[in-house]
Amino acid sequence: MTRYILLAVLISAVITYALRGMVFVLFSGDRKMPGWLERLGNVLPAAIMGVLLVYCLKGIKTDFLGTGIPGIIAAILTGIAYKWKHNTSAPTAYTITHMRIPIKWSGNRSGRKARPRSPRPEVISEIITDIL
Amino acid sequence: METRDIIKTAFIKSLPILCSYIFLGMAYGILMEEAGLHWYYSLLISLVVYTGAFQFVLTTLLSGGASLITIAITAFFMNSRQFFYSLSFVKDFNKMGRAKPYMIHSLTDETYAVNNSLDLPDEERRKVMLPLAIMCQCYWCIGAMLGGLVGQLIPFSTEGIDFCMTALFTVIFVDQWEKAKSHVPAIVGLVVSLVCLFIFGAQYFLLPSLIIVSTILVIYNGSVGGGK
Repeated sequence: MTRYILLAVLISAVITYALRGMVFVLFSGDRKMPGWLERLGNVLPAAIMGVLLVYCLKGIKTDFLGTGIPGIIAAILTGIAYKWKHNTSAPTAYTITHMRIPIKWSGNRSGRKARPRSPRPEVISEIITDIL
Repeated sequence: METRDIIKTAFIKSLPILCSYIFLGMAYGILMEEAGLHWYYSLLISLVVYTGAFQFVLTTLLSGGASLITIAITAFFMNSRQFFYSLSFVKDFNKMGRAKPYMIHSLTDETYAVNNSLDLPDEERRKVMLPLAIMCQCYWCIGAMLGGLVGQLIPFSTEGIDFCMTALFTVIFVDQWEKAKSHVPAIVGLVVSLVCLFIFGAQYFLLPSLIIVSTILVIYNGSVGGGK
Protein backbone atom coordinates (compact mmCIF):
# COMPACT_ATOMS: atom_id res chain seq x y z
CA MET A 1 0.00 0.00 0.00
CA THR A 2 2.73 2.45 0.98
CA ARG A 3 4.69 1.50 -2.12
CA TYR A 4 1.63 2.11 -4.30
CA ILE A 5 1.03 5.55 -2.79
CA LEU A 6 4.66 6.59 -3.09
CA LEU A 7 4.82 5.42 -6.71
CA ALA A 8 1.59 7.29 -7.51
CA VAL A 9 2.96 10.44 -5.88
CA LEU A 10 6.23 10.12 -7.78
CA ILE A 11 4.44 9.70 -11.12
CA SER A 12 2.15 12.67 -10.43
CA ALA A 13 5.08 14.84 -9.38
CA VAL A 14 7.17 13.99 -12.46
CA ILE A 15 4.30 14.57 -14.90
CA THR A 16 3.29 17.86 -13.28
CA TYR A 17 6.86 19.14 -13.24
CA ALA A 18 7.41 18.05 -16.83
CA LEU A 19 4.34 19.99 -17.96
CA ARG A 20 5.43 23.09 -16.08
CA GLY A 21 8.97 22.89 -17.42
CA MET A 22 8.31 21.73 -20.98
CA VAL A 23 8.55 25.21 -22.49
CA PHE A 24 11.94 25.71 -20.84
CA VAL A 25 13.35 22.45 -22.19
CA LEU A 26 11.96 23.02 -25.69
CA PHE A 27 13.50 26.46 -25.97
CA SER A 28 16.74 26.38 -24.06
CA GLY A 29 20.18 27.33 -25.29
CA ASP A 30 20.33 27.80 -29.05
CA ARG A 31 16.73 26.98 -29.78
CA LYS A 32 15.02 30.32 -29.47
CA MET A 33 11.32 30.64 -28.90
CA PRO A 34 9.56 31.33 -32.20
CA GLY A 35 8.11 34.81 -32.50
CA TRP A 36 4.49 33.73 -32.58
CA LEU A 37 4.87 31.80 -29.32
CA GLU A 38 6.59 34.70 -27.62
CA ARG A 39 3.83 37.05 -28.71
CA LEU A 40 1.29 34.54 -27.43
CA GLY A 41 3.07 34.56 -24.05
CA ASN A 42 2.73 38.35 -23.99
CA VAL A 43 -1.03 38.46 -24.56
CA LEU A 44 -1.93 35.31 -22.61
CA PRO A 45 -1.97 36.82 -19.07
CA ALA A 46 -4.97 39.05 -19.83
CA ALA A 47 -6.81 36.16 -21.47
CA ILE A 48 -5.95 33.64 -18.76
CA MET A 49 -7.20 35.98 -16.05
CA GLY A 50 -10.52 36.00 -17.90
CA VAL A 51 -10.53 32.21 -18.01
CA LEU A 52 -9.63 31.93 -14.30
CA LEU A 53 -12.34 34.42 -13.42
CA VAL A 54 -14.92 32.30 -15.21
CA TYR A 55 -13.46 29.27 -13.41
CA CYS A 56 -14.14 30.96 -10.06
CA LEU A 57 -17.66 31.78 -11.16
CA LYS A 58 -18.40 28.34 -12.57
CA GLY A 59 -21.41 28.26 -10.25
CA ILE A 60 -23.40 29.89 -13.05
CA LYS A 61 -23.48 26.44 -14.66
CA THR A 62 -23.74 24.16 -11.64
CA ASP A 63 -25.75 26.26 -9.19
CA PHE A 64 -27.17 29.27 -10.99
CA LEU A 65 -29.20 30.90 -8.23
CA GLY A 66 -27.27 29.64 -5.21
CA THR A 67 -23.73 30.70 -6.05
CA GLY A 68 -23.76 31.74 -9.73
CA ILE A 69 -25.60 35.05 -9.88
CA PRO A 70 -24.57 36.22 -6.37
CA GLY A 71 -20.95 35.36 -7.21
CA ILE A 72 -21.06 37.45 -10.38
CA ILE A 73 -22.64 40.40 -8.60
CA ALA A 74 -20.05 40.20 -5.81
CA ALA A 75 -17.22 39.97 -8.37
CA ILE A 76 -18.54 42.94 -10.35
CA LEU A 77 -18.84 45.00 -7.16
CA THR A 78 -15.30 44.02 -6.18
CA GLY A 79 -14.12 45.12 -9.63
CA ILE A 80 -15.93 48.45 -9.40
CA ALA A 81 -14.67 49.07 -5.87
CA TYR A 82 -11.12 48.28 -6.94
CA LYS A 83 -11.29 50.48 -10.02
CA TRP A 84 -12.60 53.27 -7.85
CA LYS A 85 -10.18 53.17 -4.94
CA HIS A 86 -7.30 51.07 -6.29
CA ASN A 87 -6.59 49.50 -2.96
CA THR A 88 -4.55 46.33 -3.39
CA SER A 89 -5.51 44.87 -0.04
CA ALA A 90 -9.10 44.84 -1.29
CA PRO A 91 -9.36 41.07 -1.95
CA THR A 92 -8.48 40.19 1.64
CA ALA A 93 -10.79 42.83 3.05
CA TYR A 94 -13.75 41.70 0.99
CA THR A 95 -13.27 38.08 1.86
CA ILE A 96 -13.09 38.80 5.56
CA THR A 97 -16.34 40.75 5.24
CA HIS A 98 -17.76 37.89 3.26
CA MET A 99 -16.65 35.35 5.88
CA ARG A 100 -18.24 37.11 8.83
CA ILE A 101 -21.73 36.63 7.51
CA PRO A 102 -22.12 32.86 7.47
CA ILE A 103 -20.96 32.63 11.08
CA LYS A 104 -23.45 35.25 12.15
CA TRP A 105 -26.21 33.73 10.14
CA SER A 106 -25.85 30.02 10.78
CA GLY A 107 -25.91 30.60 14.52
CA ASN A 108 -23.87 27.50 15.24
CA ARG A 109 -20.14 27.38 15.64
CA SER A 110 -19.76 23.65 15.30
CA GLY A 111 -18.31 24.05 11.86
CA ARG A 112 -18.21 22.55 8.48
CA LYS A 113 -20.78 19.77 8.74
CA ALA A 114 -23.65 22.20 9.23
CA ARG A 115 -23.71 24.24 6.04
CA PRO A 116 -25.17 27.70 6.47
CA ARG A 117 -27.65 28.87 3.91
CA SER A 118 -26.43 31.11 1.18
CA PRO A 119 -25.20 34.34 2.78
CA ARG A 120 -24.75 36.20 -0.48
CA PRO A 121 -27.40 38.95 -0.38
CA GLU A 122 -26.04 40.09 2.97
CA VAL A 123 -22.49 39.96 1.65
CA ILE A 124 -23.36 42.19 -1.23
CA SER A 125 -24.94 44.80 1.02
CA GLU A 126 -21.87 44.64 3.27
CA ILE A 127 -19.59 45.19 0.32
CA ILE A 128 -21.66 48.19 -0.69
CA THR A 129 -21.43 49.67 2.82
CA ASP A 130 -17.70 48.94 2.75
CA ILE A 131 -17.26 50.95 -0.42
CA LEU A 132 -19.31 53.84 0.86
CA MET B 1 15.02 47.64 -2.81
CA GLU B 2 16.59 46.12 0.25
CA THR B 3 16.04 42.53 1.23
CA ARG B 4 13.61 43.63 3.94
CA ASP B 5 11.49 45.59 1.49
CA ILE B 6 11.50 42.67 -0.94
CA ILE B 7 10.27 40.26 1.73
CA LYS B 8 7.69 42.81 2.86
CA THR B 9 6.37 43.38 -0.67
CA ALA B 10 6.24 39.63 -1.25
CA PHE B 11 4.34 39.10 1.98
CA ILE B 12 1.78 41.82 1.26
CA LYS B 13 1.23 40.44 -2.24
CA SER B 14 0.84 36.94 -0.81
CA LEU B 15 -1.94 37.88 1.66
CA PRO B 16 -4.92 37.01 -0.56
CA ILE B 17 -3.24 33.67 -1.31
CA LEU B 18 -2.57 33.15 2.41
CA CYS B 19 -6.26 33.27 3.24
CA SER B 20 -7.15 31.02 0.34
CA TYR B 21 -4.36 28.44 0.57
CA ILE B 22 -4.53 27.91 4.34
CA PHE B 23 -8.22 27.05 4.19
CA LEU B 24 -8.16 25.23 0.87
CA GLY B 25 -5.10 23.34 2.11
CA MET B 26 -7.00 22.42 5.26
CA ALA B 27 -9.94 21.17 3.21
CA TYR B 28 -7.43 19.02 1.33
CA GLY B 29 -5.85 17.71 4.55
CA ILE B 30 -9.27 16.84 5.93
CA LEU B 31 -10.24 15.01 2.73
CA MET B 32 -6.96 13.05 2.83
CA GLU B 33 -7.49 12.15 6.48
CA GLU B 34 -11.00 10.94 5.70
CA ALA B 35 -9.54 8.77 2.94
CA GLY B 36 -7.20 7.24 5.52
CA LEU B 37 -4.13 9.09 4.28
CA HIS B 38 -2.41 10.85 7.16
CA TRP B 39 -0.92 14.33 7.35
CA TYR B 40 2.55 13.27 6.26
CA TYR B 41 1.15 12.12 2.93
CA SER B 42 -0.71 15.44 2.56
CA LEU B 43 2.54 17.26 3.30
CA LEU B 44 4.58 15.13 0.90
CA ILE B 45 2.12 15.57 -1.97
CA SER B 46 1.80 19.31 -1.29
CA LEU B 47 5.58 19.58 -1.43
CA VAL B 48 6.31 17.58 -4.58
CA VAL B 49 3.11 17.78 -6.67
CA TYR B 50 1.71 21.15 -5.52
CA THR B 51 -1.25 21.66 -7.78
CA GLY B 52 -4.60 22.39 -6.13
CA ALA B 53 -7.33 20.76 -8.16
CA PHE B 54 -5.37 17.66 -9.12
CA GLN B 55 -4.38 16.97 -5.50
CA PHE B 56 -8.06 16.66 -4.59
CA VAL B 57 -8.67 14.28 -7.46
CA LEU B 58 -5.54 12.31 -6.59
CA THR B 59 -7.00 11.67 -3.12
CA THR B 60 -10.06 10.08 -4.68
CA LEU B 61 -7.90 8.05 -7.06
CA LEU B 62 -5.61 6.83 -4.27
CA SER B 63 -8.41 5.84 -1.92
CA GLY B 64 -10.12 4.02 -4.77
CA GLY B 65 -6.89 2.20 -5.64
CA ALA B 66 -6.83 3.50 -9.22
CA SER B 67 -4.13 2.09 -11.50
CA LEU B 68 -0.91 4.04 -11.90
CA ILE B 69 -1.71 4.56 -15.58
CA THR B 70 -5.05 6.15 -14.73
CA ILE B 71 -3.27 8.42 -12.27
CA ALA B 72 -0.66 9.36 -14.89
CA ILE B 73 -3.27 10.17 -17.54
CA THR B 74 -5.37 12.20 -15.10
CA ALA B 75 -2.27 14.13 -13.97
CA PHE B 76 -1.41 14.83 -17.59
CA PHE B 77 -4.81 16.18 -18.58
CA MET B 78 -5.53 18.10 -15.40
CA ASN B 79 -2.14 19.80 -15.35
CA SER B 80 -1.67 20.50 -19.05
CA ARG B 81 -2.80 24.05 -18.42
CA GLN B 82 0.47 24.66 -16.55
CA PHE B 83 2.17 24.48 -19.94
CA PHE B 84 0.41 27.68 -20.96
CA TYR B 85 1.32 29.43 -17.72
CA SER B 86 5.04 28.86 -18.26
CA LEU B 87 4.84 30.63 -21.64
CA SER B 88 4.46 34.03 -19.97
CA PHE B 89 7.45 33.62 -17.68
CA VAL B 90 10.14 32.06 -19.90
CA LYS B 91 12.23 35.25 -19.95
CA ASP B 92 11.86 35.96 -16.24
CA PHE B 93 12.62 32.45 -15.00
CA ASN B 94 15.59 32.11 -17.36
CA LYS B 95 17.14 35.13 -15.65
CA MET B 96 16.61 33.80 -12.14
CA GLY B 97 19.61 31.45 -12.05
CA ARG B 98 19.49 28.80 -9.36
CA ALA B 99 15.92 29.71 -8.42
CA LYS B 100 14.66 28.70 -11.89
CA PRO B 101 13.87 25.01 -11.18
CA TYR B 102 11.89 26.02 -8.09
CA MET B 103 10.07 28.84 -9.91
CA ILE B 104 8.96 26.30 -12.53
CA HIS B 105 7.78 23.93 -9.81
CA SER B 106 5.87 26.59 -7.89
CA LEU B 107 3.87 28.03 -10.81
CA THR B 108 0.21 27.51 -9.90
CA ASP B 109 -2.99 29.30 -10.97
CA GLU B 110 -2.65 31.67 -8.05
CA THR B 111 1.08 32.40 -8.24
CA TYR B 112 0.68 32.91 -11.99
CA ALA B 113 -1.97 35.53 -11.33
CA VAL B 114 -0.04 37.31 -8.58
CA ASN B 115 3.23 37.29 -10.54
CA ASN B 116 1.37 39.04 -13.34
CA SER B 117 0.10 41.68 -10.94
CA LEU B 118 3.54 42.75 -9.68
CA ASP B 119 3.92 46.30 -10.87
CA LEU B 120 7.68 46.72 -10.39
CA PRO B 121 10.80 47.19 -12.54
CA ASP B 122 11.90 43.85 -14.04
CA GLU B 123 14.84 43.24 -11.75
CA GLU B 124 12.95 43.93 -8.53
CA ARG B 125 9.95 41.99 -9.76
CA ARG B 126 12.12 38.90 -10.16
CA LYS B 127 13.55 39.36 -6.68
CA VAL B 128 10.03 39.47 -5.22
CA MET B 129 8.83 36.43 -7.17
CA LEU B 130 11.04 33.90 -5.34
CA PRO B 131 10.08 34.70 -1.71
CA LEU B 132 6.49 35.10 -2.87
CA ALA B 133 6.52 31.61 -4.38
CA ILE B 134 8.09 30.10 -1.26
CA MET B 135 5.55 31.79 1.02
CA CYS B 136 2.64 30.55 -1.07
CA GLN B 137 3.83 26.96 -1.01
CA CYS B 138 4.39 27.22 2.76
CA TYR B 139 0.78 28.37 3.25
CA TRP B 140 -0.47 25.46 1.18
CA CYS B 141 1.69 22.91 3.05
CA ILE B 142 0.80 24.31 6.48
CA GLY B 143 -2.87 24.23 5.57
CA ALA B 144 -2.66 20.63 4.35
CA MET B 145 -0.85 19.55 7.50
CA LEU B 146 -3.26 21.38 9.80
CA GLY B 147 -6.22 19.86 7.98
CA GLY B 148 -4.90 16.38 8.64
CA LEU B 149 -3.95 17.03 12.26
CA VAL B 150 -6.70 19.27 13.62
CA GLY B 151 -9.22 19.46 10.77
CA GLN B 152 -12.06 18.13 12.89
CA LEU B 153 -11.62 20.89 15.45
CA ILE B 154 -12.21 23.97 13.27
CA PRO B 155 -14.47 26.13 15.43
CA PHE B 156 -16.19 28.09 12.67
CA SER B 157 -17.60 27.62 9.23
CA THR B 158 -15.20 28.36 6.40
CA GLU B 159 -18.02 28.67 3.90
CA GLY B 160 -17.37 31.66 1.67
CA ILE B 161 -13.58 31.62 1.93
CA ASP B 162 -13.44 30.66 -1.74
CA PHE B 163 -14.52 34.18 -2.65
CA CYS B 164 -10.96 35.22 -1.76
CA MET B 165 -9.71 33.84 -5.05
CA THR B 166 -12.57 35.37 -7.05
CA ALA B 167 -11.81 38.77 -5.53
CA LEU B 168 -8.09 38.41 -6.24
CA PHE B 169 -8.66 37.33 -9.84
CA THR B 170 -11.16 40.16 -10.35
CA VAL B 171 -8.67 42.74 -9.11
CA ILE B 172 -5.89 41.36 -11.31
CA PHE B 173 -8.27 41.18 -14.28
CA VAL B 174 -9.05 44.90 -13.84
CA ASP B 175 -5.30 45.61 -13.60
CA GLN B 176 -4.56 43.70 -16.79
CA TRP B 177 -7.47 45.43 -18.51
CA GLU B 178 -6.14 48.89 -17.65
CA LYS B 179 -2.58 48.03 -18.68
CA ALA B 180 -3.51 46.36 -21.98
CA LYS B 181 -3.20 48.20 -25.28
CA SER B 182 -5.90 45.96 -26.71
CA HIS B 183 -8.81 44.43 -24.86
CA VAL B 184 -9.21 41.62 -27.37
CA PRO B 185 -7.23 39.01 -25.33
CA ALA B 186 -9.24 39.67 -22.15
CA ILE B 187 -12.55 39.50 -24.01
CA VAL B 188 -11.52 36.34 -25.88
CA GLY B 189 -10.58 34.75 -22.54
CA LEU B 190 -13.93 35.59 -20.95
CA VAL B 191 -16.14 34.66 -23.89
CA VAL B 192 -14.37 31.44 -24.89
CA SER B 193 -14.23 30.11 -21.34
CA LEU B 194 -17.90 30.94 -20.79
CA VAL B 195 -18.87 29.06 -23.94
CA CYS B 196 -16.60 26.14 -22.97
CA LEU B 197 -18.08 26.07 -19.46
CA PHE B 198 -21.50 25.40 -20.93
CA ILE B 199 -20.25 22.90 -23.52
CA PHE B 200 -17.76 20.88 -21.46
CA GLY B 201 -19.08 21.42 -17.93
CA ALA B 202 -17.47 22.91 -14.84
CA GLN B 203 -15.05 20.03 -14.30
CA TYR B 204 -13.45 19.84 -17.71
CA PHE B 205 -13.64 23.24 -19.37
CA LEU B 206 -10.27 24.75 -18.33
CA LEU B 207 -8.01 22.91 -20.75
CA PRO B 208 -10.21 23.21 -23.88
CA SER B 209 -10.67 26.90 -23.03
CA LEU B 210 -6.93 27.50 -22.89
CA ILE B 211 -6.30 25.63 -26.14
CA ILE B 212 -9.02 27.53 -28.02
CA VAL B 213 -8.02 30.89 -26.49
CA SER B 214 -4.38 30.33 -27.47
CA THR B 215 -5.31 29.35 -31.02
CA ILE B 216 -7.49 32.43 -31.45
CA LEU B 217 -4.78 34.68 -30.00
CA VAL B 218 -2.08 33.26 -32.29
CA ILE B 219 -4.32 34.00 -35.29
CA TYR B 220 -5.15 37.43 -33.84
CA ASN B 221 -1.46 38.25 -33.30
CA GLY B 222 -0.77 37.29 -36.90
CA SER B 223 -3.59 39.43 -38.23
CA VAL B 224 -2.55 42.60 -36.40
CA GLY B 225 0.98 42.11 -37.69
CA GLY B 226 3.31 41.51 -34.78
CA GLY B 227 0.84 41.67 -31.95
CA LYS B 228 2.49 43.68 -29.21
